[in-house]
Parts: sequence; C-alpha cells; structure tokens
Amino acid sequence: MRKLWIPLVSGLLATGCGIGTAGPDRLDGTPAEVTAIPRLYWVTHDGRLRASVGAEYAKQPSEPSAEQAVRSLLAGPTELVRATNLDTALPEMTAGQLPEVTAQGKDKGPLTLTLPHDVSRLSKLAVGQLVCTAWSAEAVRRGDIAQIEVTLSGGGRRSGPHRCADYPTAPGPSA
Amino acid sequence: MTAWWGRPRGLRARLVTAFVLLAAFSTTATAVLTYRQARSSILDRSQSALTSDFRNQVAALAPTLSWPANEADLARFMDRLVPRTRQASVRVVQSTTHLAGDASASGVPVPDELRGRVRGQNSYGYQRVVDGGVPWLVVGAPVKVKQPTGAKASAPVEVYLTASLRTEQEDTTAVLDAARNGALPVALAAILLALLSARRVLRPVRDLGRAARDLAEGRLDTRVAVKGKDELADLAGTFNKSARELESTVEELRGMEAKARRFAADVSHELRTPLSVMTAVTDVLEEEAPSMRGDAATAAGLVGSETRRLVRLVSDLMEISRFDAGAAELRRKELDVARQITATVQSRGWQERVRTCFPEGVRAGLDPRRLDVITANLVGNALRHGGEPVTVTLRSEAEDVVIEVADSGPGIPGDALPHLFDRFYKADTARSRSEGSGLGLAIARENVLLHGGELTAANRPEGGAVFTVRLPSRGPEQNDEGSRS
Repeated sequence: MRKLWIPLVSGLLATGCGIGTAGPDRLDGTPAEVTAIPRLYWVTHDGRLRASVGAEYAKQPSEPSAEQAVRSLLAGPTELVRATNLDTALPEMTAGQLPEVTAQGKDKGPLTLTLPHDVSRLSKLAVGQLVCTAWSAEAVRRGDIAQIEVTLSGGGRRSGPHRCADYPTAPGPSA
Repeated sequence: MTAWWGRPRGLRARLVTAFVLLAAFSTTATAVLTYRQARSSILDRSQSALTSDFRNQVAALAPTLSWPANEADLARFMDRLVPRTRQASVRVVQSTTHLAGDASASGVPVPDELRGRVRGQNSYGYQRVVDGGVPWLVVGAPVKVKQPTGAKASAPVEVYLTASLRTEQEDTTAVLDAARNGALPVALAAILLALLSARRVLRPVRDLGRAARDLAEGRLDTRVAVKGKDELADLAGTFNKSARELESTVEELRGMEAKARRFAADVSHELRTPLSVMTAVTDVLEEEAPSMRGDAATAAGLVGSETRRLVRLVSDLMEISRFDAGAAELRRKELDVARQITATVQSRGWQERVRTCFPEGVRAGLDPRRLDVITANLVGNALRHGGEPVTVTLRSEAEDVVIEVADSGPGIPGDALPHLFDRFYKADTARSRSEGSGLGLAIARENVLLHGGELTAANRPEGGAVFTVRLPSRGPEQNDEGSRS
C-alpha cells in the first residue's frame, strides 16, 4: 500500500507541468468581408499618395480595367476629391487623348502603360499616381493584390519598372 | 539514549514515517490539483480574451479597410489589431503571398494546421504552440474579398495574431514554486507533530514498562500514576489494581508461612519437656529390659528407639525453626578443613567406609559445629542412600573451599532432583521408616547458605550421586580485617 504513492504522485506531476500545445480549435463568428474596388491615387499636401474611389466606380464597379482607371485619373480630380485636400501631380489631359494601356500576361506579370506624353518628364509622385492606380485596378481584376511591376512608356521614353509599394502612401478613407 | 527517532521499527519511527508520508502526499496532491486549476483558469481567461478581442476587432475594422490595400492601409489595419499589453505581432497573408506584417517580431511561424482551418474552412481559429520554452497563442481570422463582376475570384485574406503567453506561464509557474517552497516547512511541521504525538503515547508506555520491570524484580509496592482518561490510563489503573492484589496476596502468604513456622517452633519447644521425661523413663526401661519377658523386652526396646528418634526430630525441627526466625548465628573460627572433616568421619566411626582425598594446608574461617553438621549429613546420606565406597574430596578454588561427597550408588532419580533439599522430602517412600527425619539435607543447606556458600546435587557420569559444597574461605568481616592489617 505504502509503495503506491510514489508512482501515483509522479503520474500526477507528469501530466501537467508547464503550458503545452493545444488546438487548432474553432472560434465562432461570421468571417468579415472587404469589397474590392479599384481606386484612383491622388497626392496629399504632405507629398504622399492617397486613394479615393473614382465617381464612376462608386456606382457600379464592374469590369475593372487599368486603362479605364488611368483614364479617369488623367481626367483630373473632381470637386469632391479636391474637397478632401487632394491634388494631382499629373498634367491635365483633354478628353480626346485616350491613353493606351497594355498588359503583358493575362493574370500575372508586369504591366506596361502607354501614355500620350513624355513619361520621363513626369514627377515622382505623378509616376506613383499612375503606377498605383494601374495596380489597384489590375489587382481587382486579377483577384490578387500582390505588387505589379508597371512600366510607363510614352513620348519615345520608357520609365520603370515601378511598383506601387515604392511610393509613400497614406491610408485612405473607407469606401 | 537511542537516536531521536527511537528504534527503527519502534512506535516513534512508525508515527514519524506515517505523518511525513501523509503530509507529503496531501501537500503534493493539493499542490498538483491547485496548480492545474490555476493554470487552466489563468490560461482560459487570457486565451478567451485574446481570441474574442481579435475576432471582434477584425470584424469591426475590415469594413474600414480599403481594398486593394496599399502599404499604409495595411500598416494602419495591423497596428489597430496588435494588443498593447503583451508581446505580439500581426500578419496578413493571402494564399502563398505574405502581404504584410513583420514575421521576425515573434519568430513563430503560423502553424499549418491553423492555416488549413482558417483558409480551408473559412472560419476563425486558434492554436497554441511552444517555441523555445515559451507558449504562444496564434489566432486566425479569414477576410472574404468581394469582387465586382468581371473580376476574377479572389482568395480569402487571412489575418493572424501571434501573442506570447509568457506571463501566463510565469503565473502558473509561480503557483508551482509556492507549493514547492511550502513543502519543506510542511514536512518539518509533520515531523514535529509526529514527535509530539509519539511522546504523548510513549511516555506512559515507558512508565508502565518500568513499573512492570520493578514489579517483576519483587518491588510489589510499585504503582503507576494514572493520567487522563484514555486507554493508557485504563491500563495504568488495571496495573495498579493487579499490583495491589499481588502485594496483599503475597503479604497474606508470608503471614501464613510465618505463622506456620512459629507454630512449628512453639510446638517443638513445648515438646521438649515431655520428651525429656520420656527419655528418662525409656532409659530406665531399657536398663530393666534384660529382666523382662519376651514381648515386654521388645516393647521396651522399641519405645526407647522411637523416643530417641522423636527427640532427634524435635531437635532438627528446632534447628530449622531457628534458621527460619533468622536467629541462627555463625561463629567463624580459623581451622584446618581437612582435619575437621576427618574428625567428623572418625567420630561417627565411618573411617572404614569412607575414602578421603585431602590436600594439606587448606585453611578457612568456618563455623566448626556447622561444618560438622554439613559433612555428617552428606556423608551419612551417601552411606545410607547411595552406595559404598563413598569419596570425600576437598580443594581450594580462588576465594572458596570446595568439598565434594560422591557415592557409587544408583544415583538420584531425575524427578527427585529438584525437590531434594525440600523439607520432609524423602526420595524413596519405602524408606519412610528410616532413621532420617527428612530434614537433614534442608538443615545442611541452611548451614551452607548461612556461610554464604552454595550446595548442589548432581549425578556423576560414571554413576552415583555427588554433592558439592562451595564455601567462601573467609567471611566479609574477615576480608576487611585482612585488608586492614
């Protein structure tokens, strides 16, 4: 009888010293959701890029395309955008000059943006606006927000490849 | 004094062992159970708080997250999710792409099983891992990406929180340390309690033991103090009662024996007078016996011899009574032992029938009359009940003088040997009418004891009986005088 207590106590001790591994266990709850909307990138007064939803996309963001997004960007900021202290670093374009946007590889790979003006004369922030806007729309279309290498081509010059992540961004408001 | 824990299998050692074992077992069991309980409650609380907070925050912040999120968006999102109260980090992944989050902050990778649950089953989940001896909690939240029409389906985004549980582990270890630190004082307290309990029980037991020993050694007035009302007190009371009974019984018996002896002494004394008259009368009768006819002459002779026998018996009785009353005196005289014994043998005319072997110069301080009584009785017995030749040897051994009387007879029967020196004991009932009174050996023994010696009887291996008398050569007062001069 007396000899039993040693293994008994050792057994008790062995079963639970220290916090061990556990799980994985389930946690109840409905998964959250985010809505993918292509955004246009503008410039804040402290020199960062910030996104806002383009007017046409607010209503019906279907068939996203980088070309469409860049075109909206080049049309310039709306009153609403200006009201939020945002500006553009891009030269204004008339509605007549439609930029051409081409992409290599359908769902992956870099993007080439062909523009009507000399891309080497664009400021850093202007390039950033174009790159981020193109990436935003293309990311929605691809269903993947991984960085995309965007090369700008125009006016006989090429600029790039650039990535949106290389530019300083500011967090945007919610849609 | 034996060790403080007493005899190895004694009561004290057993009590101490039992107490210590009990204390050890109960403290260990309590500590273990407390520890497990503390651990689960500490852990459960923290884990529950971490997981539900994370889930709720992800659910609340996701709608405010722009998608596709740029660096700044993701940074802000993650910053809002990281708990400030502990070491933790947040990661955002999508499929195989690590979108944001510093993996090196915690160094703990998201376990594959958790990823499987979050991504595969599109549900919140949590898992606990141990890395480098520290437990970490990893909580995962899936975020669905709603794509506009015309866009490809997007894989869900997974947000993971890795939080350190080091504080919880330290808290639970503290419980264990407290239990461990308490073990030694508890063990000491148990030993102390055991010793106290043992003493309470052992002391009365020891007293009782001592009293029993005293009683066994003859101190019949021994009593034990009765303390308390438990079983030991009952035992002490019973002991006292038994001792009292024993004492009074022994007193009674002693009284009876004393009375009997006094009676014998008184009777013997009273018989002397009529006996002396009878002796005188029978002397006259024996003188006239030759002139009597037939039966009258035989009758005269018979009454004479029987009267003489009666006289001897009465004088033996009186001798024994003197011993019993403690009135016997020893008169030591320096004498040549060999010469005394020879004189005894010759005075009774036994010299032809007794062989003597005496070294020269054996001197001792003995009572000559009593020595004569001893020797005469032993030799007489040997001649009467043993067989010739009877041998008497004398030697000096250290402080004693040893006299051996051996015969070549049939020896002493085994059942008679223990009762040989009893009063009125006669080994052979056929000899009931013999000359002896049955008191001879008893008187011889008393005389030997008076000298401070001893008298033993045995059977010789070569046949026959041998009686050995051992007497101290000198009395104690003679020894003192010897050393003084």
